[in-house]
Amino acid sequence: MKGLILTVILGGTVTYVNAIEQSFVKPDKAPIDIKDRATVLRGAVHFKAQCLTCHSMKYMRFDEISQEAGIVPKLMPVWDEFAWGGNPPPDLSLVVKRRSADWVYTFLRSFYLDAGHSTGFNNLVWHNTKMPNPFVGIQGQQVLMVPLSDLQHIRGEKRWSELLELETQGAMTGEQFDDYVNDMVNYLAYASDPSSLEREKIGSWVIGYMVVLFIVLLALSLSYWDDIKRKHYQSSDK
Amino acid sequence: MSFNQWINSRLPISDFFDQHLRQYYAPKNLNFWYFFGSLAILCLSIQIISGIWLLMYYEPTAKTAFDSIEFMMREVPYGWLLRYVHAVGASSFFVILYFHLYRALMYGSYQRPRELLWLSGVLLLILAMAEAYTGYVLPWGQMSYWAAKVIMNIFGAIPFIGEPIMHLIQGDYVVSEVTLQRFFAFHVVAFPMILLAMVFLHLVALHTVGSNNPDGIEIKDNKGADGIPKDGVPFHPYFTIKDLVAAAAFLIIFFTIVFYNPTMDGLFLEKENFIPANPLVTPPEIKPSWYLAPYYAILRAVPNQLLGALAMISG
Amino acid sequence: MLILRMAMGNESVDLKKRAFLTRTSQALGAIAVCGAAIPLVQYLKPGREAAMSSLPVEFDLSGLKPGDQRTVLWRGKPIWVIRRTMEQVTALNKINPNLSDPNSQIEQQPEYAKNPYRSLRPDILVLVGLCTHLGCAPTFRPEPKAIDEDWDGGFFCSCHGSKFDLAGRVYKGVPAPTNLEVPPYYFKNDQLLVIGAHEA
Repeated sequence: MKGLILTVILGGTVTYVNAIEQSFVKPDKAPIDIKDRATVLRGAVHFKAQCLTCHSMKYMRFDEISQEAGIVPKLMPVWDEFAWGGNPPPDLSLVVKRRSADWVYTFLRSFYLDAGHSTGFNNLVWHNTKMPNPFVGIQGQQVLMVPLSDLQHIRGEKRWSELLELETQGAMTGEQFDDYVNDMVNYLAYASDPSSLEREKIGSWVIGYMVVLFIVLLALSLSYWDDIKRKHYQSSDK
Repeated sequence: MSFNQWINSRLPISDFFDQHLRQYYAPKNLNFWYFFGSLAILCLSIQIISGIWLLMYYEPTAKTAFDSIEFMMREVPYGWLLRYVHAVGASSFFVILYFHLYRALMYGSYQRPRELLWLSGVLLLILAMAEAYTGYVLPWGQMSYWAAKVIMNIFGAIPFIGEPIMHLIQGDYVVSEVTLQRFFAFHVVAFPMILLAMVFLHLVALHTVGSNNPDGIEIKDNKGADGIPKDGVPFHPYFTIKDLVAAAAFLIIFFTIVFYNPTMDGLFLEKENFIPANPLVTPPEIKPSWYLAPYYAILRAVPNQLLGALAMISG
Repeated sequence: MLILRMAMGNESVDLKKRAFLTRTSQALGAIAVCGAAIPLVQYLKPGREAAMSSLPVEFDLSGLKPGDQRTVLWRGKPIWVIRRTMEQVTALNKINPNLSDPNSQIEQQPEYAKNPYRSLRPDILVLVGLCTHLGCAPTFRPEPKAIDEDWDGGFFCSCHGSKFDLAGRVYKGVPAPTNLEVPPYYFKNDQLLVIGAHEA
């Protein structure tokens, strides 16, 4: 019992403290739908074009959508642990499961110009990320509207779009770019757990069947326990 | 009939069935708290069967453990199902064990004559924790690795002999592939065998002293002329069918989690465990699985490492 | 017995309904067990990777000189590709009396390889390189009299001494019961051999 109470309390209060990766903003909700095959495939094509040069997708070896988009094992980069100054681009097969779709969706859109950082750009979701801004050409250049030093105080209270301003327009409009990134996140979400499509389909059948079984067993149980109740009344009558 | 007699006179299966189910009398006032014993057996069976299947693709090496599980989940037909069933099954097992334990505490099932039933139950809980802990290390993700390390340090806190014992268990000066491989042996062979033997003893003790009940009445003290307890009900069919209803209800919840939220938003399968183990990078926060969390919280609440470990064990 | 006793004392217990419910739950339970067995059995099947590796493989014949033998892996089995010389091909029917199945009556080859050369083209021989006795890998011994006085070139299995001629046909009086297996194959063009599929 003691264990149970403590568990309940702890489960509710444990927060995710991240000392290395600092995030300053509230993540946006990514409007993804992995059941929409067309957007997943589109995202895979974007991924092939934009991400696959540096990031691998090593657990999507024989996946049908990935193959169709051209994401195949022989094109995947392999880095040793010393590449990129000891920060090789990570494999992204499980990134959404490890972070969340919302995190990735917000991260990819919140790069801003920061001459003080080695890549020339910094990020509101992951401060001092080693990842260069991949979207300068299509999104445009964003700048921070508040002093860098103020970020520490407003952490988690604002959205990224309230802190950044588009200085130069890229090849896409804001809406197009959001859709572009969202498709990509949709593919990443799909790649994190391709079983989820099959899972939810089978799940409804299994659970429906178990409910029927439960009802029949309950009726049978009540029928048997009728004996006990009658016997009880009988003996109390005497 | 004669075939049954032929079998039964050589191998008394139906006699055993009669003796332990049809002529085993349980108090008729058992309420829903008494479902959890049979549900624990159901959970254990699910774990053993899914575990055997997982073994067919799992590779216990530091290089391949993580990959082999992802491979199983993506490339093997229904690999994802077996893996999620095993992971959700572990957490469900503890939910059920904790309810079962709560029932025993609430109705005083540890009192005379059930002292050994209680003690074997406590041993079973500890064994289940050892089994779960060694199993949690096997995927060799970040949380597997660092949780293993933290718990190994608990052994290291024992004065004088702590460090040698720690090295003895992990087989290296740090948690490494050697540790993974011996944990694999413990998880897959040693602990399950002891666990099953203990379950057997637990059931032998139960069928000797009989079930307790919410009113605390010993049904054996009030027998009718036929030698049958007046307040007893034959276990079969009355409690077998009742337990089956409970099993169906449990499976509805169980499958809802397995099919719709198998990681339970990081409670059953932590987010950090989706990155392979890296001895050079500590995760921002190391937290053991929820079912071990209370003990870990006691450990952390006490600043002194040794005292903390002692408090945890006594807790 | 107890049920019966109580039922007789109390006629209002609906035993018919109970029997119906019992049968229904037994049936539903049996279906549930079968359902649970589906993933367990499916899991045992070859996975997607194995299915990929069983796809047909291509082999380029341009580097294969007359008398050469190469081995290709298909479905984990060694597949031999051999370019026979004209002399070897013409010598094939000479030793027919020594063979146990010279006309390939036993189904060990696709229909298009059921001919005196056991191949689509007389010069190119494609065989599964596993002895039909116990699955050892026979060795290619094309040189005459290499094994015994009557040897005219062929395959010799050193495990149990089975002998096959240069069309993979088994000799009489050896442990191997049948000719060597010919896998499905076709020629995509003059120089490209596809192993593992019949021509579409």
